[in-house]
Amino acid sequence: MSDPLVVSLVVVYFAISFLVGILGRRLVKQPEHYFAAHRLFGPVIIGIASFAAIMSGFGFVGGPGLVYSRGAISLWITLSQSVAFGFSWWIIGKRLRALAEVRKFATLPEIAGDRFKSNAVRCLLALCLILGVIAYLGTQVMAGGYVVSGLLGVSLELGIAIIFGITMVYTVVAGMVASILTDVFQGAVMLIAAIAVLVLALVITGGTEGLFTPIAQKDPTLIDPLGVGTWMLALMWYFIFAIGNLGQPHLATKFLAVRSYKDLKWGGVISGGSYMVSSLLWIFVGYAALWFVVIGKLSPLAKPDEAATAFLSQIPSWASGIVYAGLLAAIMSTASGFISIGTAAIVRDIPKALKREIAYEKQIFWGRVVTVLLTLFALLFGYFGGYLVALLGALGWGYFASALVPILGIGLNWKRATREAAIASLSIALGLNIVFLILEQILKFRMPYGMPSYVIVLLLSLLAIISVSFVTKSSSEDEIDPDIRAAMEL
Amino acid sequence: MDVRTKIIVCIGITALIMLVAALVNAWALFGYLMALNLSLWLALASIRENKLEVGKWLALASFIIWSICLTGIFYYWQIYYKKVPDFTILGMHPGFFLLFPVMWLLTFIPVTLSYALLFSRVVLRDEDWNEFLRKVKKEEVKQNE
Repeated sequence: MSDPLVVSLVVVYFAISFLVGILGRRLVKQPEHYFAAHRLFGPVIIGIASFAAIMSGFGFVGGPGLVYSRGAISLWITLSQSVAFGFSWWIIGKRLRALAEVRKFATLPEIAGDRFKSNAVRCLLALCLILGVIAYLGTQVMAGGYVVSGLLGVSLELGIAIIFGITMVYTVVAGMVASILTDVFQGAVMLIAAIAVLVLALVITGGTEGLFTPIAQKDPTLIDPLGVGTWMLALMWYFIFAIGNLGQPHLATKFLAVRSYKDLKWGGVISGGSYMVSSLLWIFVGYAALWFVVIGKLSPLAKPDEAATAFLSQIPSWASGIVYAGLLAAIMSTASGFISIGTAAIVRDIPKALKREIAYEKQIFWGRVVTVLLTLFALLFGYFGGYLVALLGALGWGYFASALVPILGIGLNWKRATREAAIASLSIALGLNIVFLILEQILKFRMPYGMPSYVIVLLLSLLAIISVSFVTKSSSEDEIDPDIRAAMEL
Repeated sequence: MDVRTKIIVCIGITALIMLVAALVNAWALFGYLMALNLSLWLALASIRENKLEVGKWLALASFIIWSICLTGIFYYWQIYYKKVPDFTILGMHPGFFLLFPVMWLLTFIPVTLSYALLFSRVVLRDEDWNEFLRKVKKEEVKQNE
């Protein structure tokens, strides 16, 4: 068990998260509120919730671990976010908010299905989302469980039950409303943690000069702009994390929750700016852990992912309490968003695609039932799934980006995009991601030059939606419903 | 072909060349094409009434910033490859400094901050929103009749 001060801060964090989530219940008056917080929130809430949803536990543990072991290469991921939120707001923000004005949309498959007038598009996209959601939640189960177990000195199973039990209960009660409201609190915790880390890292190491000089003398590669890796990997990461932000369902859905069109104005700056501040944690925790090892204050770490905990062991306990709370916040905020999105796809999209729609007045009830079942399934999958969890865990950011960037980015900005093109693009994204999963994870095939396969899939799915649209016609131009066309012409 | 379609075609062409560049490991070319492709997305998103107007300047500014920063990053990386740099900025490798904080902060301006600054004039004017609502209402009435 950790220092009592750290434990107290973490317990307080859990209690506030729980209360904030539960309080969201009074805002839920119709299914669209439960599944998408339809038109409920202003720019500050949407901005901070968007940043919190995108900053996952990886930013707190995996990111610094990569900096520790490979230098600057992983910074190409986190530094792309200074433009990524801007791209999302520019490319899809206005369109999605306008669509929320004309129809009671609560999910992305609903929007894609109506835009392309296709149940196949709706169904394919819903399946893509459900698979991705289960894969993501599965990977977070053990990670979240280990963090809570180590912090509170409880068993792994109880740790999992605490972190995901709390997340599940508030998501059951208030759905996406709870997810967004807790995201705001959790985002604020992450920001405080990032600022605390930056100040402490610079004070302890003697500023950037004191931090980088000893590291450079040990291994100059670790402080150059590439680090250990290939340029193709660095540049492809920058590309897919910059443009792929708009394809993350837990971010894109937030545009449906914007109260007024005027509230779009500052959301991108707030979320992008917040993420930029939290990037400092990724950068400075990683380099500070490396610095401690280089100057001999810490022995070399057995695993790079220990970089964050190694750094926290060297700072005052009040600060490590805040950072641990920030880590839990990062895991829970992303998880609750994914649970809500998976639930909405199961309750609204799949039945509609199969022409067996659930009665409107019963949707919240079924939403709650599915939230429980989906979370329990993810917990069992994460706990017992073993190799399969690691296998599916590879379906992350790039998977969502390759499926959704063409559908939303091109589909909502170009009236010539056709139904056949959308189906072709989605099929390529889903099919090729699974093919590469098998090739890379099972057959141990390695892409040349360190290329991440999901960038190749994104480029191909983009090419598919553009090229197929030129040779097909359905659901394009004048065939688009007038209200959706008006939103696209805005 | 309208402006939107032209830009979509350019996005497609750059994506295709990026794919080829990736497959032959032409990483520097990939970097500049990436900058062009991202700038084109910005241009696409800022089209109003089939005109580029401010969008072309935003796209140009972001392309220039990316191109200059990437050139500097590649240049200093090659010069000090596996060596301790003989000049640093705030203790940082000059290439690293161009990546963080220079490119990180500068690109924020035309891509992210511009959205808020241009919101009322370019992104979504009040009169455009009201016209959109009128159009949707008119269609609703037409359908009900």
